[in-house]
Amino acid sequence: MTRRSLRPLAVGAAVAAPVFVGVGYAAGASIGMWGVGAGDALDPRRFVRVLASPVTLESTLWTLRVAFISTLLSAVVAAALAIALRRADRVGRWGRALAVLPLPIPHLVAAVAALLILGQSGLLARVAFALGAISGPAEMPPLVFDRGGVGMTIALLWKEIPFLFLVAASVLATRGEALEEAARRLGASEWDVLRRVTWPTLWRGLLPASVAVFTFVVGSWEVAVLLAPSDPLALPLLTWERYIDSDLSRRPDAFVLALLGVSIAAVAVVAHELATRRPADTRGTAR
Amino acid sequence: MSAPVLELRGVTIPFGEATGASAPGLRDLDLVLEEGERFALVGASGAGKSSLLAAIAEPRPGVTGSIRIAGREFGGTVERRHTVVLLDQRPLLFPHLDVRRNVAFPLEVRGIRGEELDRGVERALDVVRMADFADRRPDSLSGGQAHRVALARAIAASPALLLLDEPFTGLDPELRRSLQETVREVTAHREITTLTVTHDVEEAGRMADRVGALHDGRLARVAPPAVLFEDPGSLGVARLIGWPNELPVVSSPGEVTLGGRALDPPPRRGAGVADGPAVLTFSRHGAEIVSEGEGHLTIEVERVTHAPHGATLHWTGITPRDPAAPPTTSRSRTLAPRPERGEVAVESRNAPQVGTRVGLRLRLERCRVYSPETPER
Amino acid sequence: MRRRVLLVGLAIWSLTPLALLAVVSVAGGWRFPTLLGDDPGLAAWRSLGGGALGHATSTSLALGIGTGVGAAAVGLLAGRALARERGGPRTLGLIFAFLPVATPPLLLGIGLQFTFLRLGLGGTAAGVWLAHLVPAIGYTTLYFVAVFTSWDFGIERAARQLGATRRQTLVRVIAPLLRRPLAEAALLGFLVSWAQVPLTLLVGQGRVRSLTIEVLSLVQAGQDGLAAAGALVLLLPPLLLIALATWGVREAEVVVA
Repeated sequence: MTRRSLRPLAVGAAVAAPVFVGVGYAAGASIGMWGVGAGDALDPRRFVRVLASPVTLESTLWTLRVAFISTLLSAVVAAALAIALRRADRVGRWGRALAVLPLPIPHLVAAVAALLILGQSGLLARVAFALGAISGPAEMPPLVFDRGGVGMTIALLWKEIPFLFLVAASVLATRGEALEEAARRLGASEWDVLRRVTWPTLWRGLLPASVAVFTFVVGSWEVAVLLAPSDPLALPLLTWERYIDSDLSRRPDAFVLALLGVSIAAVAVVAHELATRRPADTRGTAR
Repeated sequence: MSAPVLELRGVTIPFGEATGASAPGLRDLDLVLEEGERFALVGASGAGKSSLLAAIAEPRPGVTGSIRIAGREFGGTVERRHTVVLLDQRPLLFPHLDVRRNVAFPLEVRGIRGEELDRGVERALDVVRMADFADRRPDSLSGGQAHRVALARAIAASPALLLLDEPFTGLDPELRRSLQETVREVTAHREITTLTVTHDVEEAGRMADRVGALHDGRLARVAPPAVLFEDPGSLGVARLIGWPNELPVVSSPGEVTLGGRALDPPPRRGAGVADGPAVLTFSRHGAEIVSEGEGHLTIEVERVTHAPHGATLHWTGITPRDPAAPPTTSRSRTLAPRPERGEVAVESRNAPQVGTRVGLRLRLERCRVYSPETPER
Repeated sequence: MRRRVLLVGLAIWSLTPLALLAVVSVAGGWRFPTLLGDDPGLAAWRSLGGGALGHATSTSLALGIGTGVGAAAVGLLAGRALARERGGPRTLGLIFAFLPVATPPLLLGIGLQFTFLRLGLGGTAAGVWLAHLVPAIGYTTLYFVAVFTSWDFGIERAARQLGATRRQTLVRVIAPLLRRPLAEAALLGFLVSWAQVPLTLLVGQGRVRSLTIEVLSLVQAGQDGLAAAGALVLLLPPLLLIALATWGVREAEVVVA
């Protein structure tokens, strides 16, 4: 193998070098090789202690659940919007612009706005009060800091739908139309076309993007810190808490949790690769 | 006496360097092009022709042998005055420059400015009849126009050698022929040496004064088109230039027998035809249809196809069969025998009925006898 | 008709949060149950002039511009190298390039904080800039891989054969064709830095106060008016981007989500 052909590998590794350094440091710190809270002896059992603890489990499950629900809902809404707004008329154009609008807005802004709207004394509560539906903030059902993660899910939907919408719209535009037209010429009804052509095409195109969204949501800290409950703590918040714990002996726990988070991301990257590859294959046979 | 414009000695492009997996690549290619010469290289798709041109245009790994341009060993930087320009299937115009600036590019990078630049651009655009399009952007041109501009740009570079890789494929035939004509005129006028590679024999005939036929990774024959198309020199090249008829014959000193009967006069034999089984081959014009029982053999009319330049009779099932059908005994590579069928030009009006049997009279002066084996060199 | 209703719903969904931020930023106190504010005024905005918000805005702008420029330059080189060759190592190289994008910034920050402290970069703007470059370069690299995958290297070859030197090819052909992708990549890098929270917090150690950090602490301190004003400033570059891209947002910019 020549040096030339190894170059892409070297370049990729250079781009990822800080991640390797960070993961390496976290791995060492998690077993007490270095860092705050490192004792005289290595403590590899910390892994088992932290990962097996009910707090970690609950936190992980809560985070995965919220991420899964918000990703799934985002994908469904995005797909439906893409179909509803695909026509090139005025409604379609304005609709697409509005649907894409939140895309480049920082997550923090979305979280701040969600807090102001959904909080117990937020906009919704005030409107309800003005309409006489409630007599004070305490009667407003809690939508933020709630165990169900409703407020957080809504904020995430606001941020993630635009991205998935854009992907769905471009899938429809590039791959959908020709296939749909072919199906119609073969005698398929509009319902058949939707069910057998449009939807499968969309679904395959949306899968990799959805995996990316899911990964992002699982690791997202700023939305959780403003909207998630204190019990259970979302995984990024739990990691953060341990990292700044005043009990120094608990700080290495943060590195175990960080490695858990990185592992989830790594699994997602692999899933993303697989998901990207599959539609490429089917595209090959479809042509 | 100046050095030849291009001199290839023992150039080998390995298997795999050429595009196709089953392509043999090019082996030990020797070729010398003198100044002003127009040369075409024909070969089957994937024979490594494009790789060869790319290697002449720019050094690339894996290519061995010596490539000399205007006497200079190629590998380092080629001097500007010995520019080699490759025109491939795509015009590759610079999308951010208009037509004028595209054509000006090779002049500008040589530091030519002002009036000389304008004159050079104008002349180049004139020869390709694109002067009216000077201010257009490349994306507003049709395929044919873009190719004309690419040609003008190449000419503006005053190349010592112009390489054409399957030029203008994908354009409609009429446009393609007219572009080929333009290239001929322009290069003849400016005495630019050209090397065209193509799988299209007719194109080779139109574009070149000398044609080299590639077969099995080697340059099997080099000749002017008129000679090459009369005398392909080997069975492989005969197939390459589209001779559709092959009959088993037996060659012995002084005579060639078909179905046990000596052909008179004996058709010309290619070099290296040993005594014994051989192949008689001819083009669509190498035989004529006669009544059954006349001529050299009897054939069955399978179908007749019509085209603007005449009709073609597709025949099958010859009689008499040769009692000594060619066995494959040799150690060297033997070309797979053709099935017993072929094509002969006929006049549309009196083409015989499909399914009937007719006689086939060979025009022996146009037939050639070759060995079924690829000559080992 | 039903599509009209959809359009109105979409407008409410997408615009309400932005409108509310605007209202709260000029409400001058937004205590329950007021809808429009107790004492409307521009007090919150005035702090942009000289106060903490103003300072944070300049910090964020500087970080964003620096990150955008740096990430565009590095991403160009890395993306070109990755896109140019095919085969096994390239796939692995691409997966590597994906890591900085896929790793949550919080975890990146936790892993890198110590190293940055050791290098004397903790709590410095330079350190935060370098930290922002990590995910930003990941994004721009992937962006340029896409650019160079559809790039016609034949154009460069043509230029060289027509007599251009390497330098002339670069200046006259490659650079003009890359102007737009470079601008887009710089924008991408800017937005990655502009929206960054946990990396800034961890590497900046609370001493580098970008606009996001300022807004976060204002919200947590219950200073809704100031927080809303800051959030609106955070909105400006993205909205500008939308205005620039008008209808069709190109796929590459999408990566920022």
